[in-house]
Amino acid sequence: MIEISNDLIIIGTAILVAANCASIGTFLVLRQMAMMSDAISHAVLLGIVIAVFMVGGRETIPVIVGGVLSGILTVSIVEMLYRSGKLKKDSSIGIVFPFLFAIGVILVTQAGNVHIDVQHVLYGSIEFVPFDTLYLDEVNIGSKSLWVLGVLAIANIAFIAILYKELKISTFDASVAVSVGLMPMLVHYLLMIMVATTAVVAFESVGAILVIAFFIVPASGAYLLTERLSHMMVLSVTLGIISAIAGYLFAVLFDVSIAGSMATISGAIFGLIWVFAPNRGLINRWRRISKQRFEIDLAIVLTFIHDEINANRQVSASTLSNDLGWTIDYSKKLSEFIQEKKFVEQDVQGNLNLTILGQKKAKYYSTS
Amino acid sequence: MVIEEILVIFFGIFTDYTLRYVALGSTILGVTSGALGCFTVLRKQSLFGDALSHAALPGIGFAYIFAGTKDSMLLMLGAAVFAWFGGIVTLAITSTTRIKQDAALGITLSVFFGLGVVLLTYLQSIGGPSQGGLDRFLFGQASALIETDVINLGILAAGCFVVLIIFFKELKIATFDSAFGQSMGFPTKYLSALLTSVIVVAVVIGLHTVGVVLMVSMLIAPAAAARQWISSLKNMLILSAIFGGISGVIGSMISSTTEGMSTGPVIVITITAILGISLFFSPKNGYLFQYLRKRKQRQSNLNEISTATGENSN
Repeated sequence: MIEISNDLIIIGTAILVAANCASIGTFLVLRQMAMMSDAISHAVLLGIVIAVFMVGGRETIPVIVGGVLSGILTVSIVEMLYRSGKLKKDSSIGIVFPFLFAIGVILVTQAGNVHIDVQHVLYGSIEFVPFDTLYLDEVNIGSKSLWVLGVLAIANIAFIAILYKELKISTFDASVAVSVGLMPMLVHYLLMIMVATTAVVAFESVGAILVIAFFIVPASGAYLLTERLSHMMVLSVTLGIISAIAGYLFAVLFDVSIAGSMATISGAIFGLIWVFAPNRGLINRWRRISKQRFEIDLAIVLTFIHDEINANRQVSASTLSNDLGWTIDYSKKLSEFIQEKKFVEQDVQGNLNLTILGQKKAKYYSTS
Repeated sequence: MVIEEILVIFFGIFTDYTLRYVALGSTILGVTSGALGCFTVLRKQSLFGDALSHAALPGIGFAYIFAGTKDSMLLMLGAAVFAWFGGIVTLAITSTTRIKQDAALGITLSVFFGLGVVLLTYLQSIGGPSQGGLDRFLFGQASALIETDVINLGILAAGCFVVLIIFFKELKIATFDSAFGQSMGFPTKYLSALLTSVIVVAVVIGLHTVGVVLMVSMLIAPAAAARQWISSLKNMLILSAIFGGISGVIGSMISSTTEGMSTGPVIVITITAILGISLFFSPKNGYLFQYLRKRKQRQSNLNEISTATGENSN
């Protein structure tokens, strides 16, 4: 049997969790169901605990079935509540999942034989993953989490590949999906089942709240970088994997929670994208806005000079800031700019006169 | 027997010091979050509270690292600063990018919580607070409340209510018709900031009793329950505060009878039970009366049909 080091098993687990969550997360972000995934990833705890009670151990299949069932239960109760018109959608989410999660937490803390630590419910126990090995006919076939997550990855890839068209159309235009007979409700529930399955499997390694980080944060970052669904998915998975590896290294370096630092790093990466993204980043946005503002102010100053001259009044560079209510620095900068561009000429008395080019420009602005 | 036990626990509030502070602290939280939660529910910002409370966690860690004490006022200050910061980050994401509110909330709550977990585990690794030191803020541990804590909580809650009473009219307008409010010259932007601030205070009060993870329920459930019975805002606030207070007392008493049980989950289950009762039995919109009304309607429809067909056959 090939021996894989514990570090590699942990990193491999983290990469698979990140890839599974980030690919499904793309649809959650686009369909505005991020908080539904929050609800599901909390609620799976109850199903897991009940499954452990019923079979008397943490067998993989019953735990997954239990978790998925409670995830679907959550989605159904939330939808039932807000369809009845008694509660808004976000209120229903915010009521159902704390309730189910609270029951789960009480069961975990009060029943001695569950062997789940409350803290591990919240932030997982990925550091113990290497010690949980899978046996086939008494033969050790390697880490259980790698096997389970690998199977899940195949299931997720198959789900997305087979239903790609359906998912895409129902995400961007639900009414078109209905009219061409693609059954968006069925797609919706299948997606919820995949979310719940992914949440249960990832739950063991990264815990309830950090599953959400992997679902939402890489996909949101990717959403700011591209316009195409397929690119967004690839980017989202890439960002998730980078966060997982960098987070693991950070955690080892400072001796802190692995799952916590993965979430923190994913947030830091999102922050970088938010600021520096080529088209949708804050810097670019700020540049675009100030460029637009400058363009508008240019139009204002040229039409102002044009109108004043037509009314036989003098305009001087020094009174410009007073006339237009701008700061002295800004109006100086603008008047220098328009002189440099040869829209305006300054005569010996310091008055501004439009050049032919400037007159053309002013007319263009006043008519458009 | 059962009644006797309940009475013993209840009178324990007056004789048992620990229980008295536990119950007082939980009541203060319940009443404050109940009243303020009405605004978050009505403004359709229910899950905003979830992001705020998760964002408070790193604040506790940083306050401990920099101040080095477990002084509850300092920890609460750190929590408040970070909760506020989390709120601002959420708003900044939605206003400067095309990311929608739900994803922005998800980003804030998971990343801030992750950072908080990093800080708590860092503190543990450098031999900071012992196990059960700071992580009681995850699910709340009202039994750890001491007299000064309760006094601090009381002062904060009183501050919230003073703001609420002074700005009641303004907050009401900003909640129901913010465009109208703006046209009347109300600074709706500042009012939103004010409301966020008092909700941050409620979240901070809740850290001790329900913890950061389940706090959202204390903001939504009492208000949603009160909404089933009453439509006037003022009365809804009062009823919601009462519901919150009741669940605080009941929850903290139940959890104090059991060794090692966090207060948060018990309070949340209690308030959700109150909401469930309200959903079923409220005379106006309850499921039960809706069902009865529907059945009566169907019966009278059937009667009408049978008389009509009876007339036809004659």
